[in-house]
Amino acid sequence: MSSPTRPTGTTAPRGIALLGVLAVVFLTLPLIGLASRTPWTQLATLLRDPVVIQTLRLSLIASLSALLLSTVLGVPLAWLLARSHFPGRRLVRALAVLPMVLPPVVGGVALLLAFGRRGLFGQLLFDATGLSLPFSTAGVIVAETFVAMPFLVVTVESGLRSLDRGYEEAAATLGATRWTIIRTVTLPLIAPSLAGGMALCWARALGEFGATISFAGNLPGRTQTMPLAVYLELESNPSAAYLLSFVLLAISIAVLVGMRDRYLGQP
Amino acid sequence: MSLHVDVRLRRGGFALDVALDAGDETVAVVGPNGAGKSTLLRCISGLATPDDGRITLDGRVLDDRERGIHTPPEHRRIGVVFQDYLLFPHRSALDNVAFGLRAGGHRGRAARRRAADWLSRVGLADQAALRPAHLSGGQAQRVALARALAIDPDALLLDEPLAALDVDARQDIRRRLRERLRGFRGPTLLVTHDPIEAATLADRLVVLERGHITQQGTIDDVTRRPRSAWAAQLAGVNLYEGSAADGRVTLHGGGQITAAGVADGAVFVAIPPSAVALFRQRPSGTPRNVWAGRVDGFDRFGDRVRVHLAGTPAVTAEITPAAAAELDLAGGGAVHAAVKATEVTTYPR
Amino acid sequence: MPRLRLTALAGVLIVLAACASAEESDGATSPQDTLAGDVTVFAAASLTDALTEIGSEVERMYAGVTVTFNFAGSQQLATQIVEGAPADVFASANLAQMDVVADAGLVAGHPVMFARNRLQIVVEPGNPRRIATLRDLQRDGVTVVLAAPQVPAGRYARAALDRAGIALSPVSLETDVRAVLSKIALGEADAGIVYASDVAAAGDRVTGVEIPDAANVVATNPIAALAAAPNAEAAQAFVAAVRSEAGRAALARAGFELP
Repeated sequence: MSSPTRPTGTTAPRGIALLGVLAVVFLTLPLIGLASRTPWTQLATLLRDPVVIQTLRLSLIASLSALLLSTVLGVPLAWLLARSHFPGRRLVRALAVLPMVLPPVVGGVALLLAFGRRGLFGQLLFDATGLSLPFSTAGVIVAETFVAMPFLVVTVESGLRSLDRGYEEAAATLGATRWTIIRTVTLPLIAPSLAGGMALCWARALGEFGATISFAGNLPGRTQTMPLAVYLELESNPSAAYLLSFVLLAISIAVLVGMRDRYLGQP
Repeated sequence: MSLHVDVRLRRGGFALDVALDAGDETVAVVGPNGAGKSTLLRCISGLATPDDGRITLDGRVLDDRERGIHTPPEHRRIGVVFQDYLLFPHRSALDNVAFGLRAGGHRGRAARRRAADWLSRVGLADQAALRPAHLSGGQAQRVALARALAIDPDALLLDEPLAALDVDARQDIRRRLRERLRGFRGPTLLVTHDPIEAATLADRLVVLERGHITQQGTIDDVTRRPRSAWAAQLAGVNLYEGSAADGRVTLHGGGQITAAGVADGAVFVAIPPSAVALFRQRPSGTPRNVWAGRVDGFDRFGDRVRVHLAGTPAVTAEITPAAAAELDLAGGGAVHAAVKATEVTTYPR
Repeated sequence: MPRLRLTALAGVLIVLAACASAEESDGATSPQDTLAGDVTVFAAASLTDALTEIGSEVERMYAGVTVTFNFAGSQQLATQIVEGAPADVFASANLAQMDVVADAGLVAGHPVMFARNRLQIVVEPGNPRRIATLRDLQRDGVTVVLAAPQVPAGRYARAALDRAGIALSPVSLETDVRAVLSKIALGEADAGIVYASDVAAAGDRVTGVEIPDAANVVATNPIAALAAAPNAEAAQAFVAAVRSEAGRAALARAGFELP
């Protein structure tokens, strides 16, 4: 999959190769351990279990919604961070990536304090409409977005920064308005970063546990996502938990590979 | 059509201050790196906003800082061919050319038809479907030109249009570019640092140095009577400044030159390297200007050798390889330079 | 996802709890000066406050001993021990997880029941919704969170509700009992069912409402020194300290009932 203009086939120095192999072993050994304890024969039964199907469905709906929300809000934020100069930009960038370093459980509590029934904003919402985000599917989406969006913002911002502004200037001299340029030049040119950021964001949302459990709680069919189900099954039925983990893993790999072929296939 | 530019712009330690007019002609803007050539083009295309001044094109005011007018690039109708062409890498040659047409309101199919037209006009009908990565440098340049011309611009700007090409390919591409530029009616500004490019493509030369125009005129004018060290180097002549009195010029940098028919006052003195003869022994006879120097270096220049002489004044001579061998330049030592008074050009500063 | 037969299990637990005092063995005491080194205690999260206090007491009594705790869910701890974690003592929040360890042959001697934990209804400070009984949890507009049925507190809460014949639709089934508590403390839900020890630990951030004995479920906390304990003597000493008068007092302060 290397582009024809790039030199390939160089032999890696032995030290690098060794450490690289070590990394692969380190990353795959736990998976192999998990696989060795997984009761594969139960897979068919498990996949027919309505509770599993329901949880899987909710996981996909919530993580894809979080991805959509992250893209709609995160790409403009990345654009602002990369392109505009406003006072406090560094601070805004630090704040935007804060959820990456915040323990997710703390993030969930912070979300409660902001959007919960008694939260700064949540109380206004609740008093006005009777709606409250915690314990709802919308709450799951909010929690996943909070934790996952920074991955998209960071990736897209660096894509925008490394983009040659000349292309956009060339488009302007050809009569394209700013919106047209963003749509037809900027976004297509940062497509690899955008796709990479979206993949990271979605994967993070799909695996989200801490913020979801503390903000949205756990109710099958409404807020119970796969990671929560896996965690709880670990308490009572570990082998089912292992199996569910692999189902989750398989789905993510399938989606990521599909995305890669679609958006990153061309050099 | 005519383009009037009178702008000032300051960026850190650099200041651009340029007044320039162009009619239906090709004007080459030449000058050393960092002189502000590209900045000037950016001002005209609207990608940079001057601090002060006016730009008008065919009566349209594009910039008037006093009145707070700045027309953004997308409304200027000025075609630009960028230095690295900046073809959109994710679009085919055809879609690159169609881009401006679409932005200008042409529907998809009509835009593509006109774009295909432009591509065949630059001889690239067969390459329409290729992405820029699969085009040669010369082809990319033609796509860039077609893209800029397709929007039917009122003026055309080209920033080093041949710099990205192999030396071998340049000559042919330069010739074809000249034909295509002739076909464009409107002011054309061409930024280059290559004298041959300027000479072949442009009707007129503007020399820009450190943000200011130091000279403008026909190619002939500038190469024969350069008014700065850079222009002299461009023209390949030895240039000195000095004060003339009674047919003799006392050079500011030291030394004297006798010139035929020089008027008194501050003058430039230009001596083409081919007019400088070199001798080991001091020549006796007609040449009025003879002075001693040391060989400071030499290099090949086509089928000739250019010899740089340190002396008062320093001078570059152009001689045949045979002459160079005879002189035993590598041996060092003193060499005498001789220039006939009739071969010296002088003109007022 | 296989569901356990909760009621049956809860019944067994209660019977076991009743037998707990009969099952006690002599707490062997070791000479104080021969004890030294680290003793690692794996303990249920609900025991955090009480056992930390007891741990300090042990360190005071035996100058050479350092007590290190690993507080987590009992199930997690049981898994870690079975997978070979170097623990000296295991204090579980329920019998089931102690059984997991015992069945693997990893308990030295017999587990000892050292504390009981009753369930309480937990509400916001001052009980603004005036909840007095389990039945009040059914009222319209009262949002209830419980622990998930996979964790002991959730299992017991189900059992209690079943016994009272109450069907609830909680808004969330939290992954551990402390999460139930924090949802109440933050005001996101009106009521939950947790251990009395959790209510005690939360101080004035929440208010506890007693559940009558008839409906209540009592969880039993067993403790055991482990067969593979790196520091077997200190392990025994820690178990003894938990069962001492001072240990019992610490447990009582933390909201536990004593056998």
